[in-house]
Amino acid sequence: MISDFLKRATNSTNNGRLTVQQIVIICVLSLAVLLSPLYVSNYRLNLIIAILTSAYFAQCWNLMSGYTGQFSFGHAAFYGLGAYTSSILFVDLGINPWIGLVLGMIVAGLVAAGIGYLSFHYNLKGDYFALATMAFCEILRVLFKNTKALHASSGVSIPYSKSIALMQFGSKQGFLYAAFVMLAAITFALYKIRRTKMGLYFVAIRENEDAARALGINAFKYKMIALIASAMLSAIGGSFYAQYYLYIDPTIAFSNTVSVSAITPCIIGGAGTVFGPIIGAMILEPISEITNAALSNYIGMNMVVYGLILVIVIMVMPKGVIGLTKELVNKYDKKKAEE
Amino acid sequence: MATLLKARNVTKKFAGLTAVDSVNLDIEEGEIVGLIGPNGAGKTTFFNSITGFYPATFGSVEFDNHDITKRSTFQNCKAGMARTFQIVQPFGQLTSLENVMVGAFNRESSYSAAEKIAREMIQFVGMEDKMNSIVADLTIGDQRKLEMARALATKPKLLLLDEVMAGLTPTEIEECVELVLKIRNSGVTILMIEHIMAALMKLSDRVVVLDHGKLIAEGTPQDITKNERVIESYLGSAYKKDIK
Repeated sequence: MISDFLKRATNSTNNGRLTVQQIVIICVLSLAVLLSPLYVSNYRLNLIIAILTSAYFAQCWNLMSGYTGQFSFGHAAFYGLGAYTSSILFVDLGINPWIGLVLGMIVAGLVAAGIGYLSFHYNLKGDYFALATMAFCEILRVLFKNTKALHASSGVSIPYSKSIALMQFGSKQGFLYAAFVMLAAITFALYKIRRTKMGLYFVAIRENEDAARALGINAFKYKMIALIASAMLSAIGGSFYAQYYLYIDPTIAFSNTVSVSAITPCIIGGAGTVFGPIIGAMILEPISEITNAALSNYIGMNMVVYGLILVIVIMVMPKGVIGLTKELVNKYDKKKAEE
Repeated sequence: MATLLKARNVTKKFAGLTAVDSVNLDIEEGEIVGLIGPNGAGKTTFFNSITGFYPATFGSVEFDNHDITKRSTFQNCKAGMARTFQIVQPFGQLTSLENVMVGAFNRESSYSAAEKIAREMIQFVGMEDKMNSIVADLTIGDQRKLEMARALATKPKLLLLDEVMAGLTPTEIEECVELVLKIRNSGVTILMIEHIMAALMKLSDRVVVLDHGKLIAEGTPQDITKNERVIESYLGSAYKKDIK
C-alpha cells in the first residue's frame, strides 16, 4: 500500500504526466502553504518563506545544473547581481524596483552570456566549469566590495515601505504569497519544459554530450540558453531577497554560502527532478533553523552540525530523496516478487 | 549513381602520431562499405575526422556535394550524416523512447511528431517491448540496436556504424546483419567498421582496409580476402590457406 503510493509518487516515466498521487501531494502542500497564515505564528512564517525562496533559487540552479548537467558553484553571482541592480537603482536613482527587477535580469543574463561564452567556447566541462563559475562570482564580490559607486563594503539599505508598487508586499503574508507564486511558476515551467524539444535536449546534453552532438544538437547553444535563463531567474530571486530583508552587502550577496544554498536542496531532494529541490528545501531549512536555535550559544557550531548532517545525507542517498525512495520501492517490489 | 561522400587526403595527426594518413575514399549512394584493419589502424579516428568530432589536420571531406571539412558534428548530422559509437553512448537515465526522440528532433520540432518517428524507429529495430525501459538497464545488444534506431531517427543519408556487432551473441549478430540490410534497403548508405568478418563479408558491397593510418587495399570482399597485404597485416594466415 505504502510502497505502491511511493512508487506512483516518485514515478517520472508516466509519459511526462503527473500521477494522481503526485497531484494529491502538490495540492495538500500548496494548501498548507497558502493557509499557513491562519495557523502559524508570524514569526514561523519566516521559515515557510525561507523554504519557498530557497526552493525557488534551487530550481534556478536545477535548470542548468540538474537538467543540463553544467554544475555551477557560483550562482550567487546572478543572485547578487539581481539584488544589487534593483537595490542600487532604487536607492540612488529612485527607479522603481519592479523596473529594477527586469533590469537586474538583463544584467545577470548579460554577465551569464559572457561567462558562458568564455567557458563553453573553450569547452570547459565538469569540475573545471564549476571552478570557473566560482571564480567569476568571487571577482564580482571583490569588485562590489571595492567600488565606491556601488556602495563598497557598507552595502545598500533599502527604505521600508508597505507598497506593492515598490515591490514590498506589505506584510509577511504578502511576501509568502509572492514567494509561493514564484516557486509555483518556475516549477510549472520546469515540469512543462521537460516535455519539449529544448527540455529533452538539455537532459541529453547532461547524459552524454558527445552523443548529443552526434544527433544534431548544438550543445554550445543549448548550454548558453540554460545558463542565461537560469541566471535571469536567479536575479529575480536576488531582487526578492533584497526587498524582503531590506539590506544587502557584497559578502551577503556574492558569498559562497549563497551559491551553495542553490545547490544543496537540489542534491538532497534529487537533482534533475522537478520536485527534488522543493523536497530538499523542506528538509534543509528546518534543519538549519533548528541547529541555529539549539546551538545559538556556540558561534559557528550550527554550521558544523549542519555540514555534518549534509555529509551523512549525501553518503546515505547520493541520488537524493527521490532517488532513494525509488530504489527502496524497487527493492521492496523485487523482494515481494521473489516471495 | 551519385557520390555521397568524397574524402580526399584526409590526415589526422595527434602531436607526433599520424593516426590517419592521406586517406582517399569515395562512397556511392546506396552502398554498404566495410572498413577493416588491425586495432589502432585509425578506423575510428577516420570516422571522427569525417563526422567532425576531431576535424582533419589536412585534407578535405565533401558530403552530398558540400565541403564539410570544417563543419562541426551537429551540422553534419543536420546535413544527413549519423553515426553510432564503438563504445555505446546512451542517454542512460532516459527511456528508450526518449533516447530515440533526441535523434528524431533533428528533423522535427514538435514533441508529438518526434515521438511518432521514435516509435516507428524502435519498431524498426524490433524493440517495441522496451519502449519505456530506462536505457542503462538494457543489455549491450539492445543498447546497440537502440543506438542505431537513434541514429536512424535523425533521417540520415549516410550512416556510420562503428563496430555495432562487437560483444553480441551469435544470434544477436544474425539479427544485426538483417537489420543492417533492412536499413540499406530503406535507402540509407552505410559505412561500417567491423571485426566480425563473416558478417562484414556478407554485408559489404566493397571493403576498404586501413593499416597504420594508410589505406592499403580496396575492393570486393572476395578480392580483399585474397589480397596478400591484407592477409599479412590483418586477416592472418587462416586466410592464406584458403587461397592455396
